[in-house]
Amino acid sequence: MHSIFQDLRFGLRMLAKNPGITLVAIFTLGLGIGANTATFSLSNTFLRKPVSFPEVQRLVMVLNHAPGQQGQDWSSASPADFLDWKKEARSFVGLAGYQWADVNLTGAGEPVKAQGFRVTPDFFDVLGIRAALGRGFVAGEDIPGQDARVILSYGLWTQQFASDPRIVGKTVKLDGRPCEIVGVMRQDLNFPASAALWIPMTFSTDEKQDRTSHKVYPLGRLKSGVSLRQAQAEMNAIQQRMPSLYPATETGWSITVQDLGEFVAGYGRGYMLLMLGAVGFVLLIACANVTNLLLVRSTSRQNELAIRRALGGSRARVIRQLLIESLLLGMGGSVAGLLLGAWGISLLRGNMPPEVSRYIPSWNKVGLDREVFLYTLAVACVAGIIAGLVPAFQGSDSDSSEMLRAGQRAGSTRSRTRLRNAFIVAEISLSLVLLVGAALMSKGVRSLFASNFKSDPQSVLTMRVALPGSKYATPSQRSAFYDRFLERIRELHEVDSATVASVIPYDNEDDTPAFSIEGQPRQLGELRTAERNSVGPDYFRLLRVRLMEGREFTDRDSADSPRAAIVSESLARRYWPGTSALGRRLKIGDDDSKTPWVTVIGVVADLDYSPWEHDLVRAIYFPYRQDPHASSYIAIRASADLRSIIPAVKTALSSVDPDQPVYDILPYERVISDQILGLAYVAVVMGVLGLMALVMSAIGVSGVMAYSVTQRMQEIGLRMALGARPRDVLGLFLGGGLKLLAIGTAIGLPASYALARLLSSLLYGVRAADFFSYASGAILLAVVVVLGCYIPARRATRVDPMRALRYE
Amino acid sequence: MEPLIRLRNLEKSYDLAGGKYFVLRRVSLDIEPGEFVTVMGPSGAGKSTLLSILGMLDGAWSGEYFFLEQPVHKLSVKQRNELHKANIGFVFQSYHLIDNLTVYENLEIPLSYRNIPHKERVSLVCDALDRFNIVGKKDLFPNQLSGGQQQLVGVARAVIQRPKLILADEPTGNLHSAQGDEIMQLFKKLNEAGTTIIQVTHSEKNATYGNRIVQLGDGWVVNQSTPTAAGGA
Repeated sequence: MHSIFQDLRFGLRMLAKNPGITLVAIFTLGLGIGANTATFSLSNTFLRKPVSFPEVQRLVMVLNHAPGQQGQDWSSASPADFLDWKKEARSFVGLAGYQWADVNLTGAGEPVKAQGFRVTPDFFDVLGIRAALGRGFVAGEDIPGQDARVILSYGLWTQQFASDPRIVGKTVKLDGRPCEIVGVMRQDLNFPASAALWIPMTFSTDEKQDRTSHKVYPLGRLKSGVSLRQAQAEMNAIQQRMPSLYPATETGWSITVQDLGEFVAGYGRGYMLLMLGAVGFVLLIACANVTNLLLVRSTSRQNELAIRRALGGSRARVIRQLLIESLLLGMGGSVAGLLLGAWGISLLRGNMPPEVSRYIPSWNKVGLDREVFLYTLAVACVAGIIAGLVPAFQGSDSDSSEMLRAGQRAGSTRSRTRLRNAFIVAEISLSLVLLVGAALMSKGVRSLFASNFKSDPQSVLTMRVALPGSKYATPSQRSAFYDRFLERIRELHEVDSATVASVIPYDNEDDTPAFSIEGQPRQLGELRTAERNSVGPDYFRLLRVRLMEGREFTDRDSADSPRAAIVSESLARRYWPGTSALGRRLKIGDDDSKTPWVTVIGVVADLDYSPWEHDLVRAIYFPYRQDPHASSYIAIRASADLRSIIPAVKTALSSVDPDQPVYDILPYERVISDQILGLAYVAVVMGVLGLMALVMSAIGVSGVMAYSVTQRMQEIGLRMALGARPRDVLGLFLGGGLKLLAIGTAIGLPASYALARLLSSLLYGVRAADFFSYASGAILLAVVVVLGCYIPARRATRVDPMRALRYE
Repeated sequence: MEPLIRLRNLEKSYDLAGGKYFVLRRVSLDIEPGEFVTVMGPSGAGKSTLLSILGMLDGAWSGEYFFLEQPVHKLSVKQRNELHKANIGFVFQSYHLIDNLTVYENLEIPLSYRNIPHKERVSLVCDALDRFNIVGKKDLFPNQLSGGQQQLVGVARAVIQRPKLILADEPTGNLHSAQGDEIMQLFKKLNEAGTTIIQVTHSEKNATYGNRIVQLGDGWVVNQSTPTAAGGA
């Protein structure tokens, strides 16, 4: 033990003796460790602790996969399927369900739209949590007529009800319907994400037989002793019986039982793992840099190390001493890393808009906690060992007899030079992989923006209305509301055009029912869905969507006129290839559903409705007067500053219905960017990591080149004395650097492509083989590496030959 | 009494383009315990190489080498290291002190490599400092000492673990004559106390401190003789 303290003391002394190298090494390691710290704190919360419930490992989601869907592509369950599973499955202590339900909350201050969820009575029991005030739902409250109950979230209770301790038992109106407040949930409950209130889930008689509307999210708690695999096997067996009973709706469908944490992490999981991998690369680059520094330093310590061996120090003992020194560097790096990591975390958290962060589970828990601190220490130790391992083995291999012979001096052998060069090549390869990854992601984000920025969203204001069923029960009532509201809005002189739409591209809504084509019955197992959008006449003009064929909707497309539809170009091409789609007929629902056939009157260019679909989504548009939705968007294109028209729009609304709130009032530009924000975040992080890698590679190459110049000083002098010109000397060193660059690029490019192909599911808006991304990454790296070589190489051209020949 | 060292047909060579280059050729030698042997010869005769082999710092040779009756030529690297650690101390021409360690720490290093407990190390180092009159310099670094003082520390380091054999490679080569005399007197005392010493030197005067001279030439042992005068004369 004392000898370890001895080595620690000597190590500190050695580091203090070379402050320049020590500080560079600590800073370099600190960059790599700091990036890991920040990313780990995100991923630790996001992947490992996205939700916090008692025995959370036993909570699972039961997901449906439509024919053709797999992995992260899934559907929710239909009401009838959910009820069947609830009845038949034996693997669960309880199988609850929830579904999204935006509601208008009135009777407590200004009307607000609240993000609600309909839940089964056993929902909170399955989660294993109790209300902070009052109670959860009880059996019987899921019967229509008995369901006028509501449970508030802690956030809603504090913001809307001023934390009234006597709130339980009071009444509020949800969509105009009085509901009794029976409880307030705990502050830390954020499931489902963004929940403001919970109301009982009820099914009508028709809904209990409905196997086509997939809107229920089943959540189960596994019984003690039942594994996820066993539950999966049981659900597979249940699903296997379904096609024979309900062939039209169940053929080709499958079920996945998924851990709740994995479900909550969702698509983000892949990106978290990508970022963890990327910061791992950055750390390796940092270690390679420090390894080269230590290799250079060990060359000058060869004498000392040989003496230690000659005095009886075993190789293991010398290696231990050198590793302790590099561990000390790692510890220094951990301090720098914690500071940089904390700064990185605060940047990430500070720049995430609340409209997005409310959907990210446990976002508020991201920070420096005990686990992150311990992780940082572990990474620092590993980094210190990795960085010091090769120099320790190299340095301890000193041939004592050669080194201690009188007159011998330390020098760099060819093998050491090759080793240093190998690390430079590794750095270049890793940097190139990061740069290409960053280029791919940022190009993808830019093209996603571009595809929707064709609609000039910066001058479009969007907002949402959710019409309560109690007041707008019939289509004509809803239609009349939109007519009056749009009329009022169009009277405002700043408004160029206004329209209504049940869905707008890149929003959070999703309405993709099955549909049927006249004369083309659906094959068993065929998935035939499309984005259904009920829109006003100005919709396509407002969003700058090109009409390819036929006509757009007009005011004449009313509830009394023949039913009409406009389809997207890709849908027309798929189902009527080579012919016109005009005059063809289709309908929502299966072939034998009772919904009326509609006639195609127009074909429009495809719109990119979701950044998360690799292919463009097919769409069917209906005139809103023939299919008015309770929940819709209002889109307004204005010539003035968008913020300035908001009060006038609200006034217009209150003149139509003073009790009707409007919410999510945002510039359309913001709607689009918020959807892609997560992806943009990842792209920015990858860009920053790529930049870090670039800087470290430049420092590494420059350092090795500078050392090489110093080592070869006499050789340079001799060459010049023999007639070499400055450009010959420059070429000598630049040529060496370019050779390393070429080898590193030759390794890095295929490695980048292989990784891009492997991770192609994470790329949106760009192909894995995008030439521009690879070329730009390679060119940027080449410029930086050449600069890194040029500066020290230029120094070599200024050597005085006579002085160099006397150089020791 | 068996010799401390027995060499039989010891050879060391390098493979060069034109053939083998021999540094040592068929060296056969016996060194008795308590001897003070001087190895002399012109530059390139193989003197330092012989010393490295005797000190088990160089393992690339052929022939037979017995140390305390142990066949060194048959031992593994680890076994040689253990044998060397336990029995041999080295004194270098360039002192070869570790620059970043104090005098105290330089003396302690070989003891630490022999896993001697801390308290015992402290005791041995203090004894050595006292014995060599360098107590006042224990906290100084080598670059704060004169050449003679550095070599004194080098000798103290070599003898601190009481080796049976001291190998000295040009121990006074970087010292002026007065300092050199001091060091040689020290060696004499150590030898009189029973330590076997083998030194490599060009100095005829230093050779007189020993009781046998082995002459090397082109890697061969060309002559063995006794010094014509007693040490220091």
